[in-house]
Amino acid sequence: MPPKSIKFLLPPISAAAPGTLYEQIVSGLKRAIGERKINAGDALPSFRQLAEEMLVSVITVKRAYEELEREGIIFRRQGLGTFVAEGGGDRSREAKIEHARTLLKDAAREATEAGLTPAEVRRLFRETLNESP
Amino acid sequence: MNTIPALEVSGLEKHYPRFGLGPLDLTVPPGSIYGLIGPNGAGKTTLIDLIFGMGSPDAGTIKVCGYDHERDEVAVKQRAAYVGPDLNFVAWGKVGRAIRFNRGFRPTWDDGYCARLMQDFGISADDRIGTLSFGGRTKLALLLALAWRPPLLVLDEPTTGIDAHSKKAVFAEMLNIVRDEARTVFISSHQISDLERFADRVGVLHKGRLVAEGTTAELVDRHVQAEWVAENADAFAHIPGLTVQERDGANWRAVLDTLTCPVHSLESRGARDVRTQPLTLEDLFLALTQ
Amino acid sequence: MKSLILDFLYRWRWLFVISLLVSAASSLFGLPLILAPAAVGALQLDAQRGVFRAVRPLPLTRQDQAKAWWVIGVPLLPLLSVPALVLGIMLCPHFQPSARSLQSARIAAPMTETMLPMEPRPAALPETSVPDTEHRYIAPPQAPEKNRPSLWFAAAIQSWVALGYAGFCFFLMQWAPQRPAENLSENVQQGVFGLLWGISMPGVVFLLPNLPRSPDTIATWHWAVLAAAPVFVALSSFSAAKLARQRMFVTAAKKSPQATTESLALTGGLTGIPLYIVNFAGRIILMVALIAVVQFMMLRLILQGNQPADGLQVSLMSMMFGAAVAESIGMRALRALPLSTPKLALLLSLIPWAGAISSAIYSTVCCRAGNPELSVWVNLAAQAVALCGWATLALSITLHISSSGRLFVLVLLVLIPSIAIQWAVQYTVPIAAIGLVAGCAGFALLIRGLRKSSAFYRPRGFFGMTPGQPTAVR
Repeated sequence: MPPKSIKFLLPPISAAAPGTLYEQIVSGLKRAIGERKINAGDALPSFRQLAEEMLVSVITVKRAYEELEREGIIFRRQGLGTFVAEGGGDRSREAKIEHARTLLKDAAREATEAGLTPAEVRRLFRETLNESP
Repeated sequence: MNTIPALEVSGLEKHYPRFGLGPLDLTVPPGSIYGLIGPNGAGKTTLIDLIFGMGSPDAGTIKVCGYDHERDEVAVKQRAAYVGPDLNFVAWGKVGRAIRFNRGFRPTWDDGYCARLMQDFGISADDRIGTLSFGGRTKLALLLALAWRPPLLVLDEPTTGIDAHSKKAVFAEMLNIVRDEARTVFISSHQISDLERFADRVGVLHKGRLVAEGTTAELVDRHVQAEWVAENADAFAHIPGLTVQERDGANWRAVLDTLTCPVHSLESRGARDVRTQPLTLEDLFLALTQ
Repeated sequence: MKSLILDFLYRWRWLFVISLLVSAASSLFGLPLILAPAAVGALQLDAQRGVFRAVRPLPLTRQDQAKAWWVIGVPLLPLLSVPALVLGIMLCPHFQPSARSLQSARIAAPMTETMLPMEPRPAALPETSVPDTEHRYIAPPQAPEKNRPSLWFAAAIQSWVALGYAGFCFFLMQWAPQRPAENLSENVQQGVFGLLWGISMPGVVFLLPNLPRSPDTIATWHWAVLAAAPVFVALSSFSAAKLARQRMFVTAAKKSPQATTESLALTGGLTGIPLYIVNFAGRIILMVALIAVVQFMMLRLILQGNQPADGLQVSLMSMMFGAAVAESIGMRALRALPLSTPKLALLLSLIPWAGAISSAIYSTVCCRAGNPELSVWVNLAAQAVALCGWATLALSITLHISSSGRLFVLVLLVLIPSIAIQWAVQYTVPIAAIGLVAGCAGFALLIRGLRKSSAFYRPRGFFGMTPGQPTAVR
């Protein structure tokens, strides 16, 4: 299957967004794969193609792909290209959930350090959840 | 897979009365974008000039796609294009004539590509070169270098004086160039944040020597900015990989190359309250070249 | 104000030294000469580089600055040259005592047709209007007046006219273009200025040696020139304020226009080397032709006939233009082309050669300069070789210097062979041989410079004629 244009599946890579450039690509791809916008077995663009589309260096894309490959979300076939692995979507979701758990732990720690009781912390979380889009 | 480096500099030396370049060793693998950064007077322009035979090195060799730059000067220039700040086409009068002149030397010239670049850069064939702004002249020089699709594109500060739109177009072209893995870009620039984004490999030139080199990611990851508290000054003097930036009494701030001087070695020398922070390429450059 | 003048003197010190040396040497040889417009030329180069602007914030009133520029441009050099002239004149009789005996005979007698090759005087530049001089092949000037009263007279006339000439050039400077022309009328204006300026700088060579050297040789047009001198000095002093005011502002470059989506009509034209030849060699041939025509007309109208020596003057200017045009092509852009170094050197040399050959044609065919015993073609060949050789040498030396001083080095380099050729123009073989040697040396120097010189590739201004932004300093 020909590689789709990923441009609109990933957020634009920017120095203003959080995380380094390659981290933004990694998390953007994880999100797209986790939300099933890219399915298992679909081909991802080559390094150079993605680099050109996102206006980043080839090495940044390589790094992002390597990390995703290490986490088992995508795999490379020499000569054929890069593809989303079976269960890549789930693994993406899991990875994202794991990351969310870490962030929540950090937030809880910050909140308790600020002097909030556990009940206040829970209320804080509920409020923020209601606020977020 | 093409393994001949697009540019290979070995043991290059060039001495001027007040400045010395080298000995310099540098390799640019094909299909990559290599960024050379350095303060003014570090020797970036000297290096690039030497590649094209403007001045002769005192020692060492330069090879472009395997061809020696002095013995095979014609072969080198058939494969490498030069864009620099002092390129002057004013004598040709109009843009069209300068283009036609250059076209006669480049069998791989692509008229369609040239027309598209002219449109992107906002230059027309009837413009008088003398009336172009500085950025306009740089764009013309870029156009003349890009339109024949050179295997190696050498750029000396190509984005100075160019507006943001054209700069983006230039970088997009550069990524287009390295797309097919056979063509390479070698760019020296002051815009370190741009290079951080687009360059695959970076070399930091300072006072004629290469003080750091590697893939952009590697360089940035390897180095951290560390702050700590310690009274004993001697423990931190002359450690390879440790570049002290500031010190106020017992408070220290330095840049650490974690490969040669890992963070824990600071603690083993008696540092307390060690805090580390990642660096941008620009911060790293400033620290290495102060 | 004094500090501005002193600063200028310091910065251009070698220019003044050379001018004074030329003045002293020339009066030593019996032909007092002042390089009148040199200071104005230097001033224009300064203005182009932004010196006027840099000086503006200093605690000087604008009037003072304007006065300083005027003093520098107009009276400074002529006044400083006077002592040099005096020195030369006073040493003159000691230098060539043997000629004294010939003096009285020469002054009274009319011009003879004898050739005097053995006399150790440099053939000077053409003499003034004397009738029936059609068939002379070398133009011995009026006998160099070795007796002092005539020399004093000549020197006085020189100084007077030099002042006026400097005033004229200074006055002209107010029309120097400060930004590139944007429409037809500006183009015409800049073209006219460029022509006048381009002729006025080296044109001193036409005018000053033709001035009368003794009271009995003054012609009507001389009176006109003498009268015009104070007029131009006065005019220049009025224009000084305007000039100072003009150069205060940053020159603005035109914004590049929006790209038109016209199709690129680049096919069907010359490209590469043929385009280069047509463009640049063609340009210089046109320049030589223009100068030749102007000179031809001027001499026919004023002096009733042109002398062989005049053709050689055109050669002098063609060598200078050759170097200037070749230099104006960006060396960096040329160096980056896939051309071997010898081939590139050849390409560069073609320009002064085109100028040399076309001026050799003018001087041998139209002005009949050369040995009358040999055919025109032999003379043409000899002069062409000689001029090509010298032009190559002049070009390669000029390229090795990137400061604005190269203009004056160029003038010197070109004066030497012109004077030598005038003196020895009947010796076709020696001048061709020397020219060949000079050319080989020049070519070798050019190749060496392309490979090793960094001055070749530094940005250079175009002899004070480029409008627009000051040249970039790295």
